[in-house]
Amino acid sequence: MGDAKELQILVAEDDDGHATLISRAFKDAGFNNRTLRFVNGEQVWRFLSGEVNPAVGEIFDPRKRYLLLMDINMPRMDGIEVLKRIRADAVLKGLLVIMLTTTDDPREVQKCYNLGCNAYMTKPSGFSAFAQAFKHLGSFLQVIEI
Amino acid sequence: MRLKKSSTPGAIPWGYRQRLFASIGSLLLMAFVPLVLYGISTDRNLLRDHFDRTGDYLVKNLARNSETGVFSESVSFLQAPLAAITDKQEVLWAAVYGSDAALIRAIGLGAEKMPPLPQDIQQWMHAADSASVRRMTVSAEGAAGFDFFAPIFLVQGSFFEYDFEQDTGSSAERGEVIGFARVGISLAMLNERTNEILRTSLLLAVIYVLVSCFAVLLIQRSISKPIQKLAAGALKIGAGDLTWRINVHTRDEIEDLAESFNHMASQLQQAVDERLLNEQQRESLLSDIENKNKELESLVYVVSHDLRSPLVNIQGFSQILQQQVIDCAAAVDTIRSGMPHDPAISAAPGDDPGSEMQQSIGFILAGAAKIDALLNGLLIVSRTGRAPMNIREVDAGRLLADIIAAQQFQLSEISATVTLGELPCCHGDEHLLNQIFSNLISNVVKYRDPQRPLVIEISGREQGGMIIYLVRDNGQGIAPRHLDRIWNAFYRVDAGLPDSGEGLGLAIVKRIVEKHQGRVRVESTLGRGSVFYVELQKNMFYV
Repeated sequence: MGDAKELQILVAEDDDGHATLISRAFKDAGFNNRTLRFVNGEQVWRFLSGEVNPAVGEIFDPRKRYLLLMDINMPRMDGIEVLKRIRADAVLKGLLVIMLTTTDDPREVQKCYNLGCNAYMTKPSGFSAFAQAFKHLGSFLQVIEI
Repeated sequence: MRLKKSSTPGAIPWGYRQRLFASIGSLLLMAFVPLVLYGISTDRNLLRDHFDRTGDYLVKNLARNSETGVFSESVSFLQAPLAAITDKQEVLWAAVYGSDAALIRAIGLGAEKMPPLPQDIQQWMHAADSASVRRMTVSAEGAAGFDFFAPIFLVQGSFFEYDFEQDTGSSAERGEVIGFARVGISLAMLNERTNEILRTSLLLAVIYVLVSCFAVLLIQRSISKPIQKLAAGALKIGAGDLTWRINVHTRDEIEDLAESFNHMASQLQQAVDERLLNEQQRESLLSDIENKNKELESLVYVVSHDLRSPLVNIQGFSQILQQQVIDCAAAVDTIRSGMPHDPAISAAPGDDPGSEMQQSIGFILAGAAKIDALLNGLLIVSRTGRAPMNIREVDAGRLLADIIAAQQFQLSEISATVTLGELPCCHGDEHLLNQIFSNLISNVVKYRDPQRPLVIEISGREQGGMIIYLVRDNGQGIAPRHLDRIWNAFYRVDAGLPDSGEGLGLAIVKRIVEKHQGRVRVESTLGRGSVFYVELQKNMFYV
C-alpha cells in the first residue's frame, strides 16, 4: 500500500463511537495513515476551505491527496451539503469522497450518487464487518490509484 | 336538447298546439256552418214569400186592369197596365189571354220564350173565382221563376162603378171569366241573394278564422310560454344549476308545477349541500388520517434510522471487547502456564472469568442483532408504505406463473401442488403485486401441515369493479384468536418455529394492498386450511 500511505484520511463523523470504530477498523485493515477527525460538516468544510483550526492542527494542502469519509447526518451542516459544496468547488471537485450512513435507503443512496460521491457505505453492524469493509476499501483505493 | 314527446300507441301524434287549433277550429265550424245555412234558408224563404206576394199582387192588378182591354178586345187598352208591371226588375214577363186561352198581348220575354201554358188552364180559368191566383214554378232562360195566373172577370155594369174595395171574390157577383192574366217573376235574384249571402259569409268566415287564429295563437302563447319556461328551468335544474328558480305566475296548475320544481330544486340543493359538507368533512378527516399516517411512517423511519446509530456502537465495541477478552484470556493462560501452581491465583474449577465475560458479551451481541433485525423490518415496512407506485395493467396469470416458477425448487422439495385457476387482469404496481403473492405463498409454505402434501389453489374473479384473488391452502389453519392480529407487523403465530422470520410478510401484504385501494382478509379453519382474499382494482386508479 505504498501509494495509499501518502493518503491523508479525513473522517467527518459526529458520533465519537463511530469515529473510533472507523479509525480502529482502518488500523485493523492495515492502514497506518493518520486520520483527521471532524465532528460536524461545518468543521470539515472550513478545513477544506483552508481555514486554520488549532483543534485540527493542520492546514489543507491542495497538493496532498485526501480521502474524505463523511457521515450524512451531522449537526450544523450535513454531509449532503458538504458534498454539494465540494463538487461545486474548482479546487476540491476531484476529492475522493465516501459517504457513510446507517441505512441503505435507496433514495438517499441515489441522492449521494447524483451529487457525485465516489462511493457509498452503509455502516456495518459489527466491528469485524467494518474492518472487513475497510480492507475492501483499501483494494478499491489501490484500483483508483492505478 | 328537447323534451321528449310522449305518445301513446294509437293516439294522434300531435302537439298540443295542433290539438288546440283542431279543437277550436272544429268548434268554430260547428257554430258557423249551421248559422250560415240557417241564415241562407231563412233569407230564401223570406224572399220567396216576397216574390210570392209581389207576383200575387201584380197578377191580380193586371187581371183587374186588363178587363176593359180584353172585353173590348183592344190591345191599346192593355198597353198601359202591362207596361206598369214590366218596369219592375224581377218581372220576366207579363201577358194577357182571352177566354179561349189565346194570347192577346205579351211583353217581357214574349210569347216564344215563355214556358207553355199548363194543359188544364181553361178548366182552372172557368172554375176560378176572383181570389184565386195560380202559381207555378217554372224555368225560363235557364233561370228558376214563378208563373202566376189570375182570372179576368167581366164586370157587371160600369167598370167605373165597380167597387174594388167591396170585392169579396165571389164569382157569382162578378159575372163570367173572359180571360186571364199571366206574370212571370224571376227567382234569379233569389240565387243572386243567396250567392251574395254566401260570399259575405265566406268573407266573414275568413275574417273570423283569421281573428280566431290570432286568438288561438295568443292563447297558445299564454299557455306555452310558462310551459317553455318550465321546460327550460327543468333543463337548467337538471343540468346541475340547483340555484335556478322557475319564475311562473299564471295562478294555475303550471304555477303549481313550477313551484313543485322549485321546491324539488331547493330540496336537491339542500341534499347536495349536505353531501358536499359531509364529503368535505370526510375528505378533511381522510387527509388528517393520511397526514397522521405519513407522520407515523416518518417517525418509524427516523426512529429506526436513529436507533441504528447507537446500535452500531454497541455491536462494534462488543465485538472489539469480545476479541479483547479472547486476547486477555490467552495472555492470562500464558502467564499462568509460566508460573508455579498457586491456588491463590488459579481459578477454581468452573470459575473461568474469561468464559463468563464471553457469555455476557454473547448476550449483548445477540440482543443487538435482534434489535438490528427488528429495525430492518421496520425500515422495510415503512419503505413499502412510502415507495412510489407505477400503476399499470397487470396480467395476474403471468405474474403468478412467474412467482411459482421462481419458487419451484422450494415447492417441489416439499412436493406441493399449485393450481392456477382463471386469473383476471387488475391494475397495480407489478413489483409490489409480486411481493403480495410471493409473501402469501411463502407464508402458506411456512405454515403448511407436515402431515399431508401441500395443495395451493389460486384463482380470481371480478366483483363490482374489483378483482378478488383467492389463495386457498390445506395448511395448519389459523386459530380464531390469531385472525385479527396476523396482519400486524412482528406478529407471529408460532415464534418458536425455526424459520418463523420477523412476522413482516403479511404486514407488508396488507400495506401494499391498502396502497392499491384494495382489501385483504382471511378465512380459516384450524387443521383444515385457510383462504386469503386479496381485492385489487380492476380499472386504472390514481393515488
